[in-house]
Amino acid sequence: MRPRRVPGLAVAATLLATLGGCADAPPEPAGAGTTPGPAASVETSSGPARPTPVAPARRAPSVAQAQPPRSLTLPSGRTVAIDAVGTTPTGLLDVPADVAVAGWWEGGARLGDPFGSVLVAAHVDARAQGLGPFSELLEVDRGDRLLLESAGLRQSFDVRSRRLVPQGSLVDDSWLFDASGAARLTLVTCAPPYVPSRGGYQNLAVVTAVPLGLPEER
Amino acid sequence: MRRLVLSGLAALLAVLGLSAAGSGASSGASSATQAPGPARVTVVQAVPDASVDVTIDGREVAGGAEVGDVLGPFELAAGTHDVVFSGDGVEVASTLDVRAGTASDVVLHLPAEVGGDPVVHSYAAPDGPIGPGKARVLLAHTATVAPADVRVDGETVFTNIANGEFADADVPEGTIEVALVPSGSTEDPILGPLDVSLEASTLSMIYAYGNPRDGSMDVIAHTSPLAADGSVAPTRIDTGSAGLAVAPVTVFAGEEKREPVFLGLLALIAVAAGLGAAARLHTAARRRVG
Repeated sequence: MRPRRVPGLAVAATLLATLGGCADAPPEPAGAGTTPGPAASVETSSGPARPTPVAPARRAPSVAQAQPPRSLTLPSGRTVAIDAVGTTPTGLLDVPADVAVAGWWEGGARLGDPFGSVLVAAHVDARAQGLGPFSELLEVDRGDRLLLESAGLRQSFDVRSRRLVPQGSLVDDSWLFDASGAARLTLVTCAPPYVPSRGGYQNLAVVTAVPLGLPEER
Repeated sequence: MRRLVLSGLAALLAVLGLSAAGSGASSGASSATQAPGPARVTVVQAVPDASVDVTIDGREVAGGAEVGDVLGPFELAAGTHDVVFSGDGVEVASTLDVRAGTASDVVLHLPAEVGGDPVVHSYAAPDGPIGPGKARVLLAHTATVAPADVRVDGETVFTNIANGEFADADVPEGTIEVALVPSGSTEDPILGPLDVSLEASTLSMIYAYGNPRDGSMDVIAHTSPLAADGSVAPTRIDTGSAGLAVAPVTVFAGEEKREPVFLGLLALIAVAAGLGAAARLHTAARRRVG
């Protein structure tokens, strides 16, 4: 537990540091040369009680350290892997091309954060892969359950709403990714109609779910 | 006496050599690129009604520190250092291990029991990069009181924090209302509610101290900047390309705010069912929440 220190060495280092007055002085080599002298004086010294190591304060056991989400289990039971993603230089969320992998915006809330939106998005489909697992979001209902997991935590969520957000700029839709507001899971994928001449899917389906209880350790 | 002379000298040298890191006057800046640099240690005096002298490695860094004083940060070389607090009724000699490039607080405070001797705890600063629009808070229980829950904006965010323990989280920037309540309770705060203003990309280390029985509860806080994690909020999300999803998508709303209404209606239904009037009210309820 407590680091065993040679008392003489400690005093020597202390004296040297005091006389040198330099916070950057490396104490170990400096103290080594002058150990014998002060060692005697410390044994007879009537200084304060034997020093005890400063104990690091403990994080309360009930406090979960927030973590990046790693997987999401949809109401059907299908589990989707989640990658941490950023934003491209043009402002596009960098969602993985693989429809079977979702992207979590790494600037947003994590699993276990007490506030804010955990934003997870995945492609609804791709020509080479067909419909992806997130197409299920187009059919989930209020009260359906989701399970979000990270390396060490898991938390269940309850589906509360699905909205359609017209495809385009999200500058007025910061609720999708905001660090403020109640803790929530925000799932995004594309939704019909599909109009090739106007860039493809015209809507985003946004499913919002709220936590059922606190995150638990896995 | 020798000790007196030394401490006087130490005080002088402390002024010259042990400069506060915040002043930015560190002459060793040129070598900072090669090594992680010294550890930065902030000392917090959280014992009410005590005037305390603080020495680090024999040098007095503060004389007569009162409750609420935040000293430093002091730059200390990696390794073990002697930290001594002495004053009226206070005599704590301790050794502190620090690693290069880290930041921590060393806090002198009272235990949970009334009349207990002061204790010292260290708190590593959770100073990693942070996302946009967020502030980081570390809230420590250093008070003479049983375990507490922490309520933020009326919601219980942390539970059962005991003396010598802390809770930390990233929270939205802006002003939050913080209260400490006895564990398991939602009312009769031990402390607060207090409005705490948090700037984006900052770390606030907050220590709750004192004794609610004599009305001396208060907080000591200090704040330092955090590096941004580089994240930029998306302005667009594009998640589909094949046009395979064709069925019309329904929408439904159920804001969190509506939950109490919904539960309230359920309770009403339950009561009403007992009175034999369930059917009509059930229909009404469904119309209202659907």
